[in-house]
Amino acid sequence: MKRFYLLLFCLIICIWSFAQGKKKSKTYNKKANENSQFLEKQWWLGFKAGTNISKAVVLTQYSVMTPTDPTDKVSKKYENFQQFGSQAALEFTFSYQSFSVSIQPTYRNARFVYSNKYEWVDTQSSNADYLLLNYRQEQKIEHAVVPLVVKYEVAGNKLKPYVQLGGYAAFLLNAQKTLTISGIDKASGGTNNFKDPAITVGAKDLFAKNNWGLIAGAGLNYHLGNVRFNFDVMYLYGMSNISSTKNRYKNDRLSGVGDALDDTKLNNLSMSLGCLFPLRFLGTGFKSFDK
Amino acid sequence: MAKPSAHYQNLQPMKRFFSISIFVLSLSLLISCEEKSDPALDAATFTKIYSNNQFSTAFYPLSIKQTADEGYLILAEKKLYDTTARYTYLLKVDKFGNVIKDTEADLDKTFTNPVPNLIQIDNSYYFFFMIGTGTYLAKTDADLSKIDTVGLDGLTYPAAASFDQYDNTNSKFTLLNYDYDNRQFLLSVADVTGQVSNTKRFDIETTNEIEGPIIDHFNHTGKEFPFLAGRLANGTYYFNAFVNYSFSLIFTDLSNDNSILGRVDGQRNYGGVNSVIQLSGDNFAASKFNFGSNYFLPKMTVSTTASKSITDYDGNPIPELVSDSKVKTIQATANAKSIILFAGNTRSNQIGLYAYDATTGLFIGSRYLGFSNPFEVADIIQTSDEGIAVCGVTYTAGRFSRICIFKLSKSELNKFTKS
Repeated sequence: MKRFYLLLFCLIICIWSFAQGKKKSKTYNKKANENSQFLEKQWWLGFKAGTNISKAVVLTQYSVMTPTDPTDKVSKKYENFQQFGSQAALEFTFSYQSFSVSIQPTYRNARFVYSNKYEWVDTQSSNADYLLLNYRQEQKIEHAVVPLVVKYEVAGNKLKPYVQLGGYAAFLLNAQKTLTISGIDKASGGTNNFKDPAITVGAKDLFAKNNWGLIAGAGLNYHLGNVRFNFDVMYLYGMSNISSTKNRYKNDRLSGVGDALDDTKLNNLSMSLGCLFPLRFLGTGFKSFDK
Repeated sequence: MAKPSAHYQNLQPMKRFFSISIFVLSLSLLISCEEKSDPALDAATFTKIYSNNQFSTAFYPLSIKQTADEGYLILAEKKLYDTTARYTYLLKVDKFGNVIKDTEADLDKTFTNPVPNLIQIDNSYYFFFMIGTGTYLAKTDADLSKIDTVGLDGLTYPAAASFDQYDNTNSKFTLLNYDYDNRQFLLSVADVTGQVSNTKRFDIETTNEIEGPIIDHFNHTGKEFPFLAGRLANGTYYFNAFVNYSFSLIFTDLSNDNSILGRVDGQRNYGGVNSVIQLSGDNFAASKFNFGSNYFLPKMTVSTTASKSITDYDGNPIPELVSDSKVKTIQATANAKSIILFAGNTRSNQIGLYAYDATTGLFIGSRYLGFSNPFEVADIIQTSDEGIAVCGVTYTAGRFSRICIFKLSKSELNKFTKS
């Protein structure tokens, strides 16, 4: 299925490229239209930054803690789209008429959280001893993301909404896991609600060195003078596992307390604000903004 | 500003297409090396802690064996709070470490004090245990589908057992027992049907000064001694137990009571051998404890017909191990050479693995397992994929004693044993 999506994506890119080339050749010798057509093309360079929220999609669950009683299931509870991350990107865009192709090298910091809950109860004496432990695991993953999107401006003049489709490749830069253990202890003569200091460990080895996915999104371009202001929303749909299958149990501090990363795909919703500057014809003879 | 030539414009789509193709190609290459689930990798390396939500129950693993289906069978003790009794517990897990079956619900609660060493003969697994103070032999299969037991007449307090790999019938065990009434250790040959064919007695002492520590061992209320029993390639039997008031490694031909060919005397109940394997002839690999200190002897020459003291053998001191640490020793293969692996309990509450070259006796690497909660070693085996499996106990939440397995892949083993 992944290969199909990739093939589809490549096909769209190729067809679009050929279509652009073919269209141009028809008007190549028409001197009268040359200037007009030339002005419809523009290179843009800009910067954008914003925030993102993530959802972990579990492919295969893994756990160090394995109950000997089959009725006692260990499961992780994921908190989806709740932790805010951030991203900053450079944007290179080539636009032609209503279409544009954009490559946006991005630094992205994404976060997601899951929790494990373990209980111990005394059913064999009258003490009713009880211990509840909640392990909250927060992942902070930093990636260099390289999205390639095709945008289509659907309408407008100064304010132009657009939709976009594309794909991305992400390269792991760094990762951290923060473990917070809290619980209720009713085994020491009273009820003790406690929360231990958080443990933060480097976890780069626990994540895949790269991953990829598809992009769908929309946004608004606002043209002011030569500058294009941009509000962009992207949904990055992960297509590959972000966890390292090889190093799953390598971190003794985490596996020692029963933690192992699931095989997981990461879906990410990002919102950014940015501005783009035209790279051609900034002189008065030709104006880069819309005619 | 001059406009670009028409020729330049004509090249643009080509350049763009070229750039896009490069990107798509790069993306394809990236996808080709994406992380994918790999069952072989999942079986080669994992860490598992076998949890149980009973507050007052503790598990103490003793022995692990790999089964024909590449899963693992674990022999353990189960202890309830407020009692010293330890019941027999068996756990079967698959090659990924997932639980297949355990005996918590259906094993008789009178089956107590199983002896370390789950013994595999063909597709059957045997172990010795106690009912009351009597010795029993249990037989099961890799799926724990049935457990048959048989009593061994006249033998009490089983302390150690091993498979006699040099017996042609492929059906004999060497068994060490304690006779409480006569203050003697008994070394016997038993078979898979529970028949005892030869038993010889070895006196501990004339006074009863060592009686307390021995009973404390069986009651798990004091130091647990590394009792051992087995047979060497030349047919000589050996056992590690108290003889003449010292915890000693004794070599015997089992011809008569107190027939001792050779010995390595320990220091009363404060020093002695705590693990030993025969490499070839008089060459052994062993570990010793002496008044709290621990030593590894990866290349130890022992005459089975001479009497020596454990202090006559120098070893490599391992101060990072806890006082009188439990130590398990195996001979394994890594990086296409024979190595000696010692596993012990460190003061930092980890399981320490120490590798030595079996030929030279030189130290070649170490690895530490576990963190956060305490971990202690129970057993170590080399697996069919040329990795190792370390079975131990961990204290989840710092207090609940639970069984754990560290499975290290061949590459992980090779990495830390690469001198």
